[in-house]
Amino acid sequence: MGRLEIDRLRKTFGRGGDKVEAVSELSLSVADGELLVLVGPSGCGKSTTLNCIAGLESVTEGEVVIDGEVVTEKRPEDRDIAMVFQNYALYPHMTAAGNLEFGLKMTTDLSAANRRERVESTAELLDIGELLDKKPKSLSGGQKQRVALGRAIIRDPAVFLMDEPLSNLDASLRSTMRTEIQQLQDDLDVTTVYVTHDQTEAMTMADRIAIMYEGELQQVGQPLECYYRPRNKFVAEFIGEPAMNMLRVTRRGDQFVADGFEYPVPERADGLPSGEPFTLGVRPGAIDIVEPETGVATGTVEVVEPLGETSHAHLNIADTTVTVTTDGPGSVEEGTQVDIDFPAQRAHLFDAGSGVAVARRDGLPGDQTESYPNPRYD
Amino acid sequence: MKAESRVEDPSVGTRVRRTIADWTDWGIVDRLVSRPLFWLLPALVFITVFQLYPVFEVFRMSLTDTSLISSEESYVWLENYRRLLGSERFYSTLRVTGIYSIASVVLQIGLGLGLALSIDYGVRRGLRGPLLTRVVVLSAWIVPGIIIGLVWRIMLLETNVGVVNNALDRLGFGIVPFLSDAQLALFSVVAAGAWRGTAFSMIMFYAGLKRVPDELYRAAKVDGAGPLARFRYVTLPQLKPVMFVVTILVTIYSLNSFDLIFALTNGGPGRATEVIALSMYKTAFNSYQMGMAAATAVVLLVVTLTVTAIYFRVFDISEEI
Ligand SMILES: Nc1ncnc2c1ncn2[C@@H]1O[C@H](COP(=O)(O)OP(=O)(O)OP(=O)(O)O)[C@@H](O)[C@H]1O
Ligand SMILES: [Mg+2]
Repeated sequence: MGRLEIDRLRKTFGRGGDKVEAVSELSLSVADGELLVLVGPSGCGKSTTLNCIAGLESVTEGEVVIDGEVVTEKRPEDRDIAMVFQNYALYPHMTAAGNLEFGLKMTTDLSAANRRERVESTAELLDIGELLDKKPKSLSGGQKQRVALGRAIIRDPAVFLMDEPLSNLDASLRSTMRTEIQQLQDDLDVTTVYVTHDQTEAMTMADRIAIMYEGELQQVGQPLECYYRPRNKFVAEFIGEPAMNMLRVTRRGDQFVADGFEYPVPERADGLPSGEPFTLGVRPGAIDIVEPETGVATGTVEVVEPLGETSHAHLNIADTTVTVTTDGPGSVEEGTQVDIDFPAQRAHLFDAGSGVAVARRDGLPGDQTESYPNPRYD
Repeated sequence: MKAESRVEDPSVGTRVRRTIADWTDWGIVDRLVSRPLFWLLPALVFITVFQLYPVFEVFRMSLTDTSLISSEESYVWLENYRRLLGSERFYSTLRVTGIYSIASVVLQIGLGLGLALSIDYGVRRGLRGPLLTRVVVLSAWIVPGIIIGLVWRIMLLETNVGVVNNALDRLGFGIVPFLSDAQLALFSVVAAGAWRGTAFSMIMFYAGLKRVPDELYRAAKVDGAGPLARFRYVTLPQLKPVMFVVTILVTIYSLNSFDLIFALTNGGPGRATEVIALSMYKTAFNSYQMGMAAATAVVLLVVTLTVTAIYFRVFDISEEI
């Protein structure tokens, strides 16, 4: 059982001129049993945040609270956390069993027999029973990762911390392990903070995702919420593959206009001032290719990337590249002229200067979102 | 024009090659060059001339009564060994060598590891001191042993001129006979040797420590291991291969050490600090008994090889890395 709260966490490295602010003013709360994925581009401060939660880095300002207890000044082993590292970090001279057992040996006074029992039941859970007597160097990447997971699970911590645990595995193993971790987390019902820079991992695994950029939290919310209702341009572009198309437009009366582009202002955006510039974002998958002369813009198909079931077509519309996800082969030809259109619900609008989303849509496609039980930090 | 000459060039080359081929049989060269032996030859020649032959020569000499002052030489076979193994001096030097080597290994590994750990700690924490420490300690290693011997001799002189005794004198202690008391002299020799050799083991250990991934320490911290447990369960096992190499090298080096002791005490007082290598030197160049000295050398070689073989057994590095 563990509820994790981070309150205005700040972490700086170095002094004077070399000072780097890795994390600034980060506030988050993770509910008991929740899997929160911390995602963001390289260098945005994800690992630093995790290390601060773990107690491996001291905190410059702010508080870390686990289960109602302030642990900011406590040592890692007194925080009731366990961590899985990117490079497994297994002790190379110990067998898999030794690796699993080490934490118990250090922090509890269980007898050797009791420890062995725990090791065996954990190994069974992870299906690594036959590997217990092997040393890390004779294990495959996936097996090492399982042992590393086991080492965290066996201590039965209040909070699990995982720093890019799958990034060293190949693509197919990664997706298997992804499901497995998710299931395991579900079964064990342990509060988990999972760091990744892979937005697919974030979208598929998370109960909620927290998106960071340059040390600052950009948005926290359920994956689909972040996908359909991004709070700013960064989130909109970071989540979703391929990235959202962004167009500079100006409102003129009841139209958003740009070179060779004209789009009626959606109802919810009626309040936006006329004559002002905005950024209009639309996901490649939301755009349809329509009959000539009926679309909002006309473009030349420059490149088509076939993916099988679908293709990505890159159109040139008045010198801007717009990516469109189309049906499989044969739907568009390179070099032809096509018209595009998209539904008003799928148009995202951002302030041209700050990138903050304006006139966001109300709900997700289908039903309405429940508001999250703890909206304090969102 | 140019194009023409380019076309002609190869034909000139072919003609030249054909002419040379008439003089020599290129087939032999080709075959020779494709043999591994050809490429090993320089190294083989070097080792044979400069290492194997001298060893053989020493061994042969140890069976003779070769002397520096007479040109006659006859085979006495095992007589030298019999005399050597029957002499009290040999056992005394063996004992001194043993004490000196064990003390050296213990001190140099202990001090070297301690220094390396503190430097590594500093570096991992981004402190400034480590570079200076490394330079200072390393400088001890760059200076030749014979000079270190002399420097220590000056420091330990048993008059007011000696740096250490001068200091002790000022503090109100009496003069300490660092070099003339049998036990203190051995102690002084060990101290000087450790002072010099620590640099080497420090560098080796530091290189080993740098290879320990930070993540292992962090994993151990999360697992609840304190500083001592981290040293015991993470650092030490990771250092095992380095420990092996350092132990072997320091042992071999101290079993064979000569220059520093030669300069510091010359084996004295009496034979209190006379190690095997030094007695070998004295036998050869003070008593002129080359055959006897050669026999001593052979015994020293056997001792060194035996100890090394024991290490290989005890350490069992087959499993490491
Ligand atoms: N020990 C350190 N000393 C100085 N700067 C650091 C240190 N650790 C991290 N930083 C800086 O803090 C910032 C955030 O680093 P962090 O490792 O948290 O990024 P990350 O989001 O985990 O990136 P990645 O996806 O590459 O792992 C970076 O600019 C980095 O250079
Ligand atoms: Mg990281």
